[in-house]
Amino acid sequence: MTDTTQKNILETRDVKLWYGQKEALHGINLTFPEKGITALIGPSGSGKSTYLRALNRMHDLEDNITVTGTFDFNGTDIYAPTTDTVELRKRIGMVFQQPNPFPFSIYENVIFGLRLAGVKDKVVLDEAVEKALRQSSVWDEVKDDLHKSALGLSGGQQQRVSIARVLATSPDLLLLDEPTSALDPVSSHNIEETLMNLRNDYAMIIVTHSMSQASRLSDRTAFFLSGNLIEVDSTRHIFLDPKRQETQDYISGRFG
Amino acid sequence: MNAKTSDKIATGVIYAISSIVALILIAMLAFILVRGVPHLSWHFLTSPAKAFEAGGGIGIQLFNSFYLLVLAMAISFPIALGAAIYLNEYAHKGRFTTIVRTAIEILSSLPSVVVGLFGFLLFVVKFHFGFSILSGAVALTIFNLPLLTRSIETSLAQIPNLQREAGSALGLSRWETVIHVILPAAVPSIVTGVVLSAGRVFGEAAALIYTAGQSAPALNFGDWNPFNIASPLNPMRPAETLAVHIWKINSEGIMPDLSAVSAGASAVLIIVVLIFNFSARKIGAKLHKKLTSA
Repeated sequence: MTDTTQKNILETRDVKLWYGQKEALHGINLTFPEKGITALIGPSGSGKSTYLRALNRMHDLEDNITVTGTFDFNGTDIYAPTTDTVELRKRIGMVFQQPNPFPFSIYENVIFGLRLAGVKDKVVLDEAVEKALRQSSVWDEVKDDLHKSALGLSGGQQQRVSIARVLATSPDLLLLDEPTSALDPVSSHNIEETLMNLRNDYAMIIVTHSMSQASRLSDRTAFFLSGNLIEVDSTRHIFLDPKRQETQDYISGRFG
Repeated sequence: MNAKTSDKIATGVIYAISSIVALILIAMLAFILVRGVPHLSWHFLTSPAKAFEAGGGIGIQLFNSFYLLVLAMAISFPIALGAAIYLNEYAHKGRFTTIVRTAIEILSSLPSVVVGLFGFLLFVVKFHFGFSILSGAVALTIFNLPLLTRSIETSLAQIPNLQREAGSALGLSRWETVIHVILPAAVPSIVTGVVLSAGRVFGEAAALIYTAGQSAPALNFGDWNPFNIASPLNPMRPAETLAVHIWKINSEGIMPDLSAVSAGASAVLIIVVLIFNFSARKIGAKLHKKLTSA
């Protein structure tokens, strides 16, 4: 099922997750190649976001959530007690549904991670800002206002600045949790373009409600339903020739 | 009666009630200011009080009030900040958190005169601090701590969870998220809360009567060595504040211009508190602008 010419960056096996006593993921097996975009689709409550957030241990922030299973990220066991979540999350970046720039200037937002890592050299920082903002295709729009508040930008620009902020920490894997669902169509289009430009350099996993987005953007698509992974294949196969009836029903709009 | 009419009546009643509240405040302020402001002069604000003759001022009391305020804030702010950060960012639901919250609630509902008497027994008598600025500052801290903690906690709670998620998703530890993301974002509203509580502390009398004392010994404003007894900075000297002074002269004052001094002192107290209140929001808004757009 996976493209065998590529090394996998992340392999997960038998992933289960409980909210208290309630099992929400029932044993997910998924692997992700080093480059390219994998889309996670499925109706609300199917567990796709829950699964995504398990990958960088965002569930650690909540009480009452238990995660089990094997998570092999480039040889690192994500859930090993010795794994430093701080280090881990620098390598696995995340972009959220709501654009969430910090209430600082655009410049400070983008170099936030670098500053914390102790980088002080202005030349290095300036370069990093430009590179990250170019990568996230927002440089031309904000280059004259770098020292203005990021909160003054439009939603779409804020989201691309959020992406730039993640890219500036040079992650190996990018998790995107419905990154366009809070945005208008034009901004969504811009974000999609941005992701297209990044697909050759990064491994990306995107959770999306929009099947057209999944079909436009992704190389592979995984279909989730009620906490189960129903089917994963190349996006082409999933949309043109799904093997499972549930997948067929979902993509043809019969439910969800 | 139809819905429209009853809505009109309800609106009218609510307007009337709010107007009454505003009117009470305005009437009180006007009364105090009209009576007091004519007595204000540079001399009144800077010279020491006189016990038996006319022409005394409130200079020392005014200084004492500010000095006590600064000390009380210096002690209570770090504690309140730490407690608020714990409660809002770290605390899990559990017995310990419930106990802390209940303690804060009870502490905030203690009458200030009780805090004052407790301070008298513990700090003044037991710890031999005497009637002193130090005793007063600690008593004010107890008085101020619960409300300040609550106000800082509210400021932190207003920062959306998205910011915390963004912080941890970027690889920040919880502490780093608090220090580098949450606190900077919350500073404007924290400052507003601190200034407002400063106004309340400034006007507090009951907690100070038995702790900072009711006498204002002469001070030598040329001597800033805190170990000298006449130094304004000496934390071990008794220090009657403005609010205590007003209470004192009204209950046992014998100077001939008693009512003038009392009216003037009350006006000064009210004006300072008003300045705190009006400046609180302004400072907060300014800081917000400055911090968010670098």
